[in-house]
Amino acid sequence: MQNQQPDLQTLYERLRESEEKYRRLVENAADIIYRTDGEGRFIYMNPVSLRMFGYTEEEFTGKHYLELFHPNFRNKARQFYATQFFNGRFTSYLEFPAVNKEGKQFWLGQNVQPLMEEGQIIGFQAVARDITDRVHAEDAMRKSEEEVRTLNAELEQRVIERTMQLENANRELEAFSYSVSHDLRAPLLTINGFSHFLAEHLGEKLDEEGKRLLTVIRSNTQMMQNLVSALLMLSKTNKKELEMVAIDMTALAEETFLEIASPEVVKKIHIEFPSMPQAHGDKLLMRQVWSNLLSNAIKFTLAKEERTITIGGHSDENRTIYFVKDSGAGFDMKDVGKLFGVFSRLHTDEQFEGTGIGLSIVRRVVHRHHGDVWAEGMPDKGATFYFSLPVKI
Amino acid sequence: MSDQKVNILLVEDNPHHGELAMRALKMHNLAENFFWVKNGEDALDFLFCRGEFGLRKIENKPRVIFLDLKLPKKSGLDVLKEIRADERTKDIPVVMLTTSREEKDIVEGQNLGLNGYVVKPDDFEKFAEAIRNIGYYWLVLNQPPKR
Repeated sequence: MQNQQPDLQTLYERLRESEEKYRRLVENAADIIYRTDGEGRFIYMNPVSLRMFGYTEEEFTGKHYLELFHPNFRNKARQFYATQFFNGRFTSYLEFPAVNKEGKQFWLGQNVQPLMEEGQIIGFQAVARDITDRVHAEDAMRKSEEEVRTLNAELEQRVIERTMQLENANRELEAFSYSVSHDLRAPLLTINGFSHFLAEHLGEKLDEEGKRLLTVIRSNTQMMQNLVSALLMLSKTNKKELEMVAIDMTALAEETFLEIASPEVVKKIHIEFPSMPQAHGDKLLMRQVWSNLLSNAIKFTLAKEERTITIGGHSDENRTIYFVKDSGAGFDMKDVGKLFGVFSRLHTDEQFEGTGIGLSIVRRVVHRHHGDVWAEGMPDKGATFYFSLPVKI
Repeated sequence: MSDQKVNILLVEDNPHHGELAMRALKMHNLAENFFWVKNGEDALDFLFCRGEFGLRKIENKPRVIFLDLKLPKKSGLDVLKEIRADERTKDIPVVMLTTSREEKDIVEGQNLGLNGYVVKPDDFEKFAEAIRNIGYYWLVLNQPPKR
């Protein structure tokens, strides 16, 4: 017969086989598997449980489940499981710090199910897994996130402080330039005027030495006037809002040259104005750059026999570089760092007059245009001043 | 001070700049009936005939006022405000003299009805020329309205 019922012996054999399979599965599992009676005392635990907690089977059997929890967590665990059973939930998941026989703490993630028989809870079965590494990693992550947050807050605070300091410095600078324009100019006018009256007053009585003394006063007053004007120009360079336009640099350089050089000077100097790339910038400030660079070149070239000024410009992908090269007095490359500083001069007044501010104005203007300035030179072999401007995108 | 005619009222706290202005006016024969006060309060006392100027008549207005911007206590702009606020003085031409090149001062002065604004040059010869030009304009070229 095809549908023959198996006999009792066969059924018993099959059940035994199935139970054996089930037992092997539990005993060889990588997870903790254990079971308690209705009061929560252990009646079965697999080998992983014994290994993880360090108890022998005899020690483990009869322990209350809460003894496996870290003491600080026991109340919480008791409440958690009471709620599960009160609400009749079939399964729960809890992560908790466990302690082994030696008191060492580790973390478990545990699934618990009640074991039912005829509608009554007769015990509990749980599967748990070691999650210590994950918990520690999460802790470390939380800690580093907190550190980042703290660092960010500190950084923000520092930015606020620095901004305030900068704003204060700017206000001071403005107050300073106002004071330069008003308070320093007033006595200059007086000195200038009264030396004029003195010359008039003495008239014929003034001898050669007297005239020389007055000339020294006058020329120094003039020098001071130039300094004050240059300082004002420097502070205006900072304050002026940039009006960005396309600039024909060839035309601007030529215009500026003819503006600052007297006809006699123009005759003495050999200069050409080759076609240069257009610039994108503030025309008034760019004029100031050409004016300062060209007047420097003129100043240092006039004293020489060979008087050539070469200017030019070329673009690459990112920037346009312009230059002014002269055959003048030049400078030692070891002094190149001093060139662009306020009031720093490489020559004495007897050699070359100057305020020591011109190149710092050039640098300020170019930096405000997000460009760079640099220079090359050799003593008595001339100097080349470069400035770059970003190519407009 | 008695009730004398005044062509130019100079309000200038810097004694040397006052002298420079005076000498410059003299050089160009414009210093006749020139009067100089050293601060804003004295300027207003003079114009409104108060205090030591109690004997003056308010109708004898100066033909032009040279007003320094930076003055102790009352600033030049404050003095200008009070001059413009009074019916009896609001027509007097006022020219601001100053070493300041601050744009906000220029704009504020213009809003208050300033007739001119001269930035004092550092150089005396240029200063003398500026003084001569404004003196000449207001005393010689500009005829006050007939009453």
